[in-house]
Amino acid sequence: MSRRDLFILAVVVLQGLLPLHYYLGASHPYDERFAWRMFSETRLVNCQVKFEAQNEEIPLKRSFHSAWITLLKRGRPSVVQGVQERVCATHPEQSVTLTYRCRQLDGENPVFSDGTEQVCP
Amino acid sequence: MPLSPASERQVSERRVSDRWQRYWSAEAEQPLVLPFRALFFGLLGFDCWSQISHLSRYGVGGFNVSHFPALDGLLPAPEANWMLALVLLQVALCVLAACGVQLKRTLPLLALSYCVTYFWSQLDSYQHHYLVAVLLVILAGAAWLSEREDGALPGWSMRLVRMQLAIVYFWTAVTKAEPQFLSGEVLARLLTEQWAKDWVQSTAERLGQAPITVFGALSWGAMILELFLVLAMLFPERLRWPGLILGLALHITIEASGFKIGNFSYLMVVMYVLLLPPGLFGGWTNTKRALPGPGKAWMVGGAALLALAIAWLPVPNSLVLGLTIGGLTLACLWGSSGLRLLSPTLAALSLLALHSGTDQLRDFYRYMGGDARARADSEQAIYAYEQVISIDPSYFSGTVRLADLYRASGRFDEARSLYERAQAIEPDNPTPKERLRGLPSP
Repeated sequence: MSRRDLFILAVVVLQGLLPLHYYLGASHPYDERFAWRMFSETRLVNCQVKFEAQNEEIPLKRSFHSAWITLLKRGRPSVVQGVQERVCATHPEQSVTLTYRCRQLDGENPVFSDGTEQVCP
Repeated sequence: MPLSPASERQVSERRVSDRWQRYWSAEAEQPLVLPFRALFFGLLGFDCWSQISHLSRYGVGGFNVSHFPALDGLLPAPEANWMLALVLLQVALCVLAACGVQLKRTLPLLALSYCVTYFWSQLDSYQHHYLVAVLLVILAGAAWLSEREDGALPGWSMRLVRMQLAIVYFWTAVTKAEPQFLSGEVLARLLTEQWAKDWVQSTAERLGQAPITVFGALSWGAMILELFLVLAMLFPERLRWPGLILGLALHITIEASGFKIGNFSYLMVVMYVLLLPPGLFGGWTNTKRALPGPGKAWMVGGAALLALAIAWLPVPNSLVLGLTIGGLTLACLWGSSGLRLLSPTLAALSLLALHSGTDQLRDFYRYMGGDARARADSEQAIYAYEQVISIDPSYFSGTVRLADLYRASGRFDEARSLYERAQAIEPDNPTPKERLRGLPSP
């Protein structure tokens, strides 16, 4: 096989199969990156992501750009995780809880974290 | 005489291999390269420039989540100024690529730069930017493997781009095969343009059905059409014209229906050049060879002009940036001849035209200022709004915002002077007058 054939094969196999990661459950259902899921119902998911320290809500808008807040509302798990790590770093030795619940178009309202457990180590 | 199983396997393997070679030799596709290259990179340059106003979101508070979160501990958070520098480089490289300049150098540099800006942060999660990143990697690889003069894109790369599009259409159709989408509910919620909603309503009334039934039919239609486009992209020889008409109709309708997807529809419309009969463009390639080119002084002069144009733009460290991009352009261009030597001049003129014809740089600072105000970072907000009104001195809201910021930080004389300027810009607007009354006497 020539280098050209190998290149073509690599592109076709990789791009053809990569979206399977979403359908085989390797990705969180709200993380549709690299799966070509244009106009899916996930775009209509609306999440509430709220951190509280000492029973007071942490105002995320003060520390994060509004674009990150939009991604939180879409429930993107890696962004929730990143924000959580930052919140924990900026609130050391405080008890921080996370409320992470979403509303889907199909009427299901999954709760990923109900605000009762401490999320910082 | 019947063949042995081993011989049968050999014959079958050879058949597959012959078909593969025939499919990918694709010499007939070569005339498509020139129009595709000019249109795709021309539009991409504009799309890159259109990102500038959004770049101020990068690096706020040193926070970032990349597309590969496992790397976040190793990567620094991207800064708005770095992203701006990369985007300006991309615009210049797009012009060079559109002109076909030394693609073995230009395209890998463009692909690398684009992948850095896309994959570095999930702030950019647009599907069409991911598609562009993939296409740039494909085209850079094809240029690298090309045996043609200057790394000119080979015909098979056009086929591979079409195959990539077929993959995108296929998986998008799979997404639409979900019951929630086919019921029409998703489309009903995503559609925002009033004319489209009215059309669905009136069609439903004419048919004596509920609007959701029409949305459902449209959803089924979209899925079936996308599956058809998979075939059209793979077998253009048989499905060229229906593919071209239906594909263009799909993307033009999507654009007209007000879905918020940036320049994606335009990008996809450009892609349909690849379904046109290659014979249409056969003459273009020959004409190009017959044209005489300018001397090498144009190459150096053009790179200098590009450096000066960037140095003139209201961007941080503009002189260093101009010299760097001018130098990289020269490095890409080295060894070229003919009309391509004019490409850095074209890049400089494109940048100047984009700056004077759009508000991207003004809005870059405006959004930066707005976000800094929301986070109570008055120093950053003042810096940003000072840039806004230096770019656009007649911008009323920016002038008032900066005056407000000066007033809040006790710089009353500067605030007064700006409120007066705002009054001159919009004499009928009461805001500057009211704010002036609230200032302490000089």
